[in-house]
Amino acid sequence: MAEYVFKMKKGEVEIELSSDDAEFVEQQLAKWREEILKKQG
Amino acid sequence: MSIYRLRVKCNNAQVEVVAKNGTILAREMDRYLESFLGRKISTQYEPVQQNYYQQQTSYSEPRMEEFSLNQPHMQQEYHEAPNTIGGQIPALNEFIASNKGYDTFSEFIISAYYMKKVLNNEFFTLKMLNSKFYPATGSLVDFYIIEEAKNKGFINTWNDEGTTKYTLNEEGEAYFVNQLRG
Repeated sequence: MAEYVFKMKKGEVEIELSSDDAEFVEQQLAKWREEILKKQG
Repeated sequence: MSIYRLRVKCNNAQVEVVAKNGTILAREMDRYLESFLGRKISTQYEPVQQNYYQQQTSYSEPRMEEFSLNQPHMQQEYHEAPNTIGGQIPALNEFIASNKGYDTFSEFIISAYYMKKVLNNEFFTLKMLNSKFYPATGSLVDFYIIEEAKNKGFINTWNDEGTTKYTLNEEGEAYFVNQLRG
């Protein structure tokens, strides 16, 4: 089963999400992308 | 069954959460997202306490000692009556409930007091604390909480052979007594 890894880094803090639940990782990735773009907008 | 892992690294320290339900990790990730963005986000979640499966913390290089409930410092008895409930050593969730915690930071201060005054631990590591804090609150103490406590002058921190150790100092104890004691 594939494992999906989603890693973000800001300054010294790095967080890494990994799961074999593709839908969950996709949702989290979409949420982060949406919120970050919202701030930039 | 799917497995969900969230690993957080800061300097040489690392915290890892392993869960059998993604909701718990989504909540933790939201906290970091809010910290990254510097603002609140709104997400609704179902209660997840029953989904808690395993909380594991570990440190990257330099490697920390393995935490065990059998370590001597976890077996010390507590004799100061004011911090006991019915003469018994309370569980952390009971101790928090008997005081005035209102957010993760205040619950952290209560927990730091618990580690020092109830369990008589002269120090705690993030790993030691989270092994109790997470089951008690459903949240993890992260580096932002630690930094806030350091910036407010409530905890002392030092490095002991690669292990970052913390203790509530006098200012932290005073904050607990004056603001958070139930």
